[in-house]
Amino acid sequence: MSEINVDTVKHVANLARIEMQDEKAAEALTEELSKIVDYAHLLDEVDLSSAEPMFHALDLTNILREDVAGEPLSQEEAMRNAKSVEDGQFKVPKML
Amino acid sequence: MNIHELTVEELYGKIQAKEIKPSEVVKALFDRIEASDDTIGSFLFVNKEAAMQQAEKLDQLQQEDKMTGALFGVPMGIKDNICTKDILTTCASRMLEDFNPVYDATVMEKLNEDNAVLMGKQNMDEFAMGGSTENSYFKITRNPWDQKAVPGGSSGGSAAAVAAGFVPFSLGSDTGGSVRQPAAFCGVVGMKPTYGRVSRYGLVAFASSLDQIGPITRNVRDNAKILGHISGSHTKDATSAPSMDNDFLEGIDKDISGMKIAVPKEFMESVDSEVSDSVKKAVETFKSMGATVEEVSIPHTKYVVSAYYLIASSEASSNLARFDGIRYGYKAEGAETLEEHYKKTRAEGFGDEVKRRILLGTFVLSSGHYDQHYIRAQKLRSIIEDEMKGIFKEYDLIIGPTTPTAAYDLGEKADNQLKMYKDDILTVPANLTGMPALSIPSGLASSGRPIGLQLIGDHFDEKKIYNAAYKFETQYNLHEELKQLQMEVQ
Repeated sequence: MSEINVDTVKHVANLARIEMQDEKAAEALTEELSKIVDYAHLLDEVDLSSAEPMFHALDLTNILREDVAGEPLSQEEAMRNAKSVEDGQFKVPKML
Repeated sequence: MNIHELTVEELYGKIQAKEIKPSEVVKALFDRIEASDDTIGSFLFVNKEAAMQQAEKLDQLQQEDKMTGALFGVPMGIKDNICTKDILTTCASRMLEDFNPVYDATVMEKLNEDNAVLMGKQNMDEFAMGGSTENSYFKITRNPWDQKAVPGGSSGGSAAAVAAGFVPFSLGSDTGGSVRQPAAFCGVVGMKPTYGRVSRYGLVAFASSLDQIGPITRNVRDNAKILGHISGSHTKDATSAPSMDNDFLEGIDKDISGMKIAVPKEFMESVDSEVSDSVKKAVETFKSMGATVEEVSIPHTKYVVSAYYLIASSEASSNLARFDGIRYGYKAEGAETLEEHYKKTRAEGFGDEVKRRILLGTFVLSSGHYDQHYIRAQKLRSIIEDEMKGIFKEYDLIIGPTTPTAAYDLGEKADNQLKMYKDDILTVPANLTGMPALSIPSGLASSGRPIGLQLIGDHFDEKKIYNAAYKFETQYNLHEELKQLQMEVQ
């Protein structure tokens, strides 16, 4: 029995802010993701009790740059790829 | 002289010797691309006007004996997830269809300083998610060896263009095999360097703890040369490693007698018979040059694909949250609220495979599943690293196949994600551990499609890999076959 059903997929799609209104698409995704998650359960048979999680490949810590002011992007450059701009600001639909 | 057959080193040498002008090189390759890339589909778009202008400036410098830059006049193709200032960078996605970066990736700054010439941006699986380049929003790419076959992926456009003689070198990116697997499928040389060797600044992030940029070339020396030129840390990538010796050509032709090579038996169990025969032949070749080759075991190999997809998808779901349709990229029309705007933009802007991975990653990271899936996957990662580090205490290199089979047909696995994911079993260990790994051609299947041999080294041991690969290449290569192929492509 898979832990993923259509409701899980819709819930996760909402968290990821991806519209999921088409029932058929949601069902297809449910089936595909179930197969993948079921396969991932292969890991259940491994004894991992003494292993530390490895979040990164290299042991680098505190990589800091010199505290010197650099040349940032101009406002114009930073906004050049935006589709909707007004008075030098990003324009978005109403929030509530 | 066939310009398209020349390697990076040959082109550079002939330009330095004034036997040929940069503009002649660039024009000859554009002629070739225009004549033949309609069928191959390796480039998403070419950068012709700017490249020709640059080449004419380089002609002038050549004439005045003012040639500077280690790649003066050498043409290149770049995977379309590497930011090129003021030049489209789409990641083969509708989401970035009209995105013009406002800065260059570190690797582009370096290659531009070296006076290499950007010919265009190359096709890929959308956001580098896939193994066949069939997930591009724009088009498919065909394998120059057999146009019914996939070129591999996600850097499929880059590998196909190098094999077809459109450019002498390309840069790809490799998160789970995306440089090495297409290199294997297209009969060329592809390197995934040690994690941190090459700055990722300006590489559109897929899975930040796994991604590395690497060169694709037609021979080993060119590959070593290009890696040398793109290596080095950058203050804007805190995960790039402090600079060290980046001259990978130094000592490349050293005698390899006495070198100790390990072949993990689990790698050989995962492949078809033509591929394992090819690796066995390679083992004999290495032995004939005086290397010792022994079988070893990486007992947890069968779990790497599970761990990889949990980790890579989790990181992807986080990285791809930036695509909000506000600051750049695709923007859906007609949304009345901000939330609706996000949801429509992301539903319309992302393709199916990208959505699958974002949803998988969001699931894995969501409450109740984080410990069960994500943390366990990261623990498996440290077990694999321990097992491989243990091998490197006794051996110089690990070798094995790059892929379970030679290139498969277009469409063959397009509807079976899990099957395609499982094919990554041989390439993801290097990404999970951050170790460097190279694919070089080691044979041809009965279908006539190339087979790749993978050489994996300990962290920052690229020199040993290139040394062994170069020596192997003197005994077996596809250089003549590639020339033959390029005649047919034209």
